Amino acid sequence: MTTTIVPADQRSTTTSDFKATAAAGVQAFCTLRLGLAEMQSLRKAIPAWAPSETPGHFFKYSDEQTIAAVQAVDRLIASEGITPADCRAWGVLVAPRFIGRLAGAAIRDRFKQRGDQAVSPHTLPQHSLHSPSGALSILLGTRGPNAGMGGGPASFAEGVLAALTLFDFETTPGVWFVATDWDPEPLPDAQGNCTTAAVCHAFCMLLRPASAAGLIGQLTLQTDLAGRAAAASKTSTEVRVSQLVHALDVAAQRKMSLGFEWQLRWGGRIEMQLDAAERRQTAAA
Amino acid sequence: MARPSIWITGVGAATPLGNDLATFSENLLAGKSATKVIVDQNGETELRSPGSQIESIPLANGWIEPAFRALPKVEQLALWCTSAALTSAGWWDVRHQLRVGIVLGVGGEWLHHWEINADRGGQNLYRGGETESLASLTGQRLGVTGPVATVGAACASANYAIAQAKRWLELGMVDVCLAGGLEVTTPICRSGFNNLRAMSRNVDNAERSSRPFDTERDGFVMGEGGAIFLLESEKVARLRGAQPLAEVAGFGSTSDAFHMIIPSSDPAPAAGAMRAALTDAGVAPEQVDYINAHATSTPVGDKAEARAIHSVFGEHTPSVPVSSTKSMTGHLLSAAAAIEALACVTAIQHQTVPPTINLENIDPECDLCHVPNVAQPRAVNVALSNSFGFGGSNTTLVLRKAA
Repeated sequence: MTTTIVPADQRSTTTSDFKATAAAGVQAFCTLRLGLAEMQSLRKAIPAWAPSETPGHFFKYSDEQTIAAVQAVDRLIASEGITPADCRAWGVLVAPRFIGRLAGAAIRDRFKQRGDQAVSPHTLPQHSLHSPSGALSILLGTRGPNAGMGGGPASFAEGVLAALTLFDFETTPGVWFVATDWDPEPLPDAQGNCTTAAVCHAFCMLLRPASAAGLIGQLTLQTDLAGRAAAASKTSTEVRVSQLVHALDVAAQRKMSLGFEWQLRWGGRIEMQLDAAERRQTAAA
Repeated sequence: MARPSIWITGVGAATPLGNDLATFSENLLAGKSATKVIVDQNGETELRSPGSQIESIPLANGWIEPAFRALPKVEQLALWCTSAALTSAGWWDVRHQLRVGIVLGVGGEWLHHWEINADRGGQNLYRGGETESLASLTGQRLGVTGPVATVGAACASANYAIAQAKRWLELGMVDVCLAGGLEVTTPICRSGFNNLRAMSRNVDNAERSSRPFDTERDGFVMGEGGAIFLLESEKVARLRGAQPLAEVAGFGSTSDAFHMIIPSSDPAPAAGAMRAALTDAGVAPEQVDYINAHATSTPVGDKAEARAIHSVFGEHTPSVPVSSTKSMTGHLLSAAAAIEALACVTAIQHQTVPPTINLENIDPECDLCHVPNVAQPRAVNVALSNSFGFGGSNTTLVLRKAA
């Protein structure tokens, strides 16, 4: 499968075979980079907007990608002046990529050394695909749906596809969407200690109906209804959050809009138009 | 614009109760328990836990034994279930000509992959380089083109997968879509849940250890297996004369916003998922003929669900049969919703409600219209399946008899 991220001015013309099958508006977005070392200090940082009864140890066992997702949402809430209590019916979608690698190595080592009693009961609840979205929905107090999408090499593209097609804006008025990705990946030694200078990248969007007022971006799914655009290549779709974060940072510096286009193996195409100049805040490690 | 009706026209399954719909249904309606004692030996330590497993996965279409058996168990499971679903729906031979979507509910895919890969001498956990998800790999091996996705909502994953497939069909993105859930358990997985103290410890009487709604319940029994459904529009199915197993009539989902592991004692969020699914299906509570409960056999969860059912069904609660088929299959985690949708298909196809086995002393706080121990023949046109998961996910699927 070939995947391209093409700037807006170089995009291909929509052919007659393509049809816009789903769309969403982007009300706000932000990007974030966090080094692994910074994560530790954030484990005790309960967001100010979280429910007052949130325990101080809420992040004690959380995966690092959960912490990055929450920090990204925190920045967006601060920059946009959003009150989570006003968004109770919203949904939460998070697309982490290779979640749980460090925890997986550590737990494997403990299991081999000390047996079943050494396996933390928090491993699966906190380092699985659902974990970041579950944590965010608790902190935000959202009663709408929450789910994790992707998880593998093509996690970002799968997440965006789900953001466009899983929920119905008639019943879910808004969606907190976060995609997270390591670059470089935190590769562990046999004891689970990280051996790389891992950096987690996060991209967060508030998605609303495409017709909503005050939008600063659009997300569209074009589908090749005839199926003729399906490529025969067997390589993965791999749109990286780190690529997008970098491109948005550059666009923000130049105060320009940015259009992205994903050509997907099955003949679909995701188009994302973001006004980077409107982004209120960028955070970089 | 009216949404097209979506039908299930095929299924592939490997479950502790059988590897095809007929065998699964026969054992389910006979009230058989699949629970045994699983022994995990790790050096000098040993963990014994009640559990249900799939003994052998049938050979998938187009594969030869040595190559198939060399694959990790979860990859065998994915291939068997998807190819069997395409075959049973009558699409196998022409699958290359279709846009076939694949949505898998798999919650702990990468933790599982890394554990199995390392056990087989691989270094993916430590060196990276992973190139394909299970869903993508399965699509390539089937030789189909279409969108693929993995969804994780813990034990509610497969209901989300079915809902996503339904939406893709409604939007015209695919011609047919494979959707469901897969779960293969490992020693580390069993150890983690055992240390969470969520699993039953009744190894002396394993077959009776999964007992949802019973006063003696002491935790769930972990199971493994998978079920994948072939979904297509009613229009296409009618044109080619396909026999429907059921209509995917509605879906609803909410979040507890309460705790990463413990279900909320507030019935409102779970009730909200049920109400949303009923609204989506255009069904009134009194029209529901069967509820397949999430009830895992934990003291807290079963009571909370009973309260939520009362909240939605009100005065009709005493007349709507409820059972938890986890009493027989065990709790299949990521695949639980798929296997329970299969139980609802069984109820619709056989016009019989499967029982909750091991239900001898009903917990007064779980006062529902139970189907204790023996299946009950009755008209089942609409079945509702609840699946709730860690992270506070509540989902409900409504299946309807296809006319």
